[in-house]
Amino acid sequence: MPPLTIAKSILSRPWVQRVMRPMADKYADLAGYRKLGLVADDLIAEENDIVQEALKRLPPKVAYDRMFRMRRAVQCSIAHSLLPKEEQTTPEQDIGYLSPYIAEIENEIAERNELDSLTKRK
Amino acid sequence: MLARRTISRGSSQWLAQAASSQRRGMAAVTNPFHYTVGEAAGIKVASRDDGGPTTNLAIVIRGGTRYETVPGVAHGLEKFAFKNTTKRSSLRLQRESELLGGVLSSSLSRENIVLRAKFLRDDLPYFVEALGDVLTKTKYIPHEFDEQVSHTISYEVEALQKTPAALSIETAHSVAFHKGLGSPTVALTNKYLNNITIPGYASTVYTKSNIVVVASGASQSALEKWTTEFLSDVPAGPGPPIVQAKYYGGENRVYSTLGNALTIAINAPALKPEYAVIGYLLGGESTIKWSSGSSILSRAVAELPGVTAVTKHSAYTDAGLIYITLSGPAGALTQAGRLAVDAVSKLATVKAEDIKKAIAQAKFDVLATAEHQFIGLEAVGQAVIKSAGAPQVEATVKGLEAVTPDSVKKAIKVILAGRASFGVVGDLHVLPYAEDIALNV
Repeated sequence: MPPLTIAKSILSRPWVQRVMRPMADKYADLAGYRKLGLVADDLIAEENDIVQEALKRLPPKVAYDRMFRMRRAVQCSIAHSLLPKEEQTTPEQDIGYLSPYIAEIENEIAERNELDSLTKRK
Repeated sequence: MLARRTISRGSSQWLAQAASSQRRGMAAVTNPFHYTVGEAAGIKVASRDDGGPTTNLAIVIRGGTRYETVPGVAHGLEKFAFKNTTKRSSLRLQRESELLGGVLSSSLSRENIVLRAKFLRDDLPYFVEALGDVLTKTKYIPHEFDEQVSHTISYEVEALQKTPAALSIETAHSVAFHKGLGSPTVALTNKYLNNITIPGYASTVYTKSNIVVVASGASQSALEKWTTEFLSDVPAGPGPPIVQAKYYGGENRVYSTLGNALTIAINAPALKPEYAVIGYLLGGESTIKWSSGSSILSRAVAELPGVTAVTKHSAYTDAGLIYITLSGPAGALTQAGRLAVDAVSKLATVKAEDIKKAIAQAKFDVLATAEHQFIGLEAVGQAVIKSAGAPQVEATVKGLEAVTPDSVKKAIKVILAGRASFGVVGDLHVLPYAEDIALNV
């Protein structure tokens, strides 16, 4: 089951979004993954079928970049260091490259479940 | 959840029976072979209403392998039919058409890509929409190609490569016509197929003047109405350029461990009924169960156990081939090839009675094909794209009736003068060269 989230209700109200946006940006920055050169979608747990499927669908270049970022971050972690400022991820670079694929696969599964239990209305 | 209109259409099927008896009464008056040609939203529409309770619908697209821009792209595009569209997913399309009792399919030939649907008469709007969506709304998602399309393609490539007879026909076509009509009917490599070439080819061939909607068992007015509604967003355009087919001829040999086959192809340039008759005259396939048949070729190879001979006449829009395919054990094929070449060269002295038999068979096959709801659609579509008029089967039959033994002999003389094309597949150490069977290539 996906974790409970209020993201949807925030995004649907522009004024709430305006209030929350600076806090969210600060939170993402404090989370620290950007200092290791990662983007938010790198943190999605990949040990499940849906994400594995999504990873298979990534274009080759995107998949390569993902692997590069991860190995660099692991290296930083081992060395107990952070990346130099210019190599860290900027907020503009922090784009969801994997979540659209995950959403698509979730939709496909939901559609299949729905159609599998379909009955004809008399 | 299904769209509401789908369900309501589905339930109205039960009313179809009551209405169809009335339609059948009307159809008795009209000629069951006659196709009416019209135009809707700039797209040619051909139909015949046989009054039956089911409909066969096809969209014929002039975009077969002879027109492809890069190798295999036509096959890739054909296999993308009925995949995800912006309107509905492929799974939904599949389930909805199952719910309506329909069958969707697509096929590829050297000349055309054909999208087909068979369904109950009242569901015409749904299926016109479904076929129309393929043309304009397919998404061509890269991972869909990797996950589904490429697998079906490689399956068909494998099936071809494991069928020596089919492979030898391909080989004979490639030496006969080189490029264009000679290009393979499957995508032998995925190298050129990607999310640029396939949609690019789609935008070239899926154009208004390049497609025709053909239906058997639907009224012309309904078909025109739904074509206007669902296909008016097909872009206008000239379609792929036409390159006149040129016959070369020659010999090609392919090693295979999976069986042996020879194909001897003869150029039959213009579309004359005589050539079809020659195909039946040579024959090979038996029309009587458990017998080897009485056509010239089947008599010739009857003495060789395990050898089968089949003659076909393939008529393309601007070229034609008569080809004999011999398959069987490698050791017997040299002898079979010699006998076949001998039979062909003796055609000029054939008995009038045999010609009469061949004409009767040709006539039967033409009429049976035209009568068949499903098979005839591609030929009708191809003719409509080429000449804006549906071929009327009466004219074809009249052409066959006008064939005389003399005209057949004249045609035989013409085709025997040219170079043959020879395709060999199998154990090349044993199988003959064209010279060994006295074939002029």
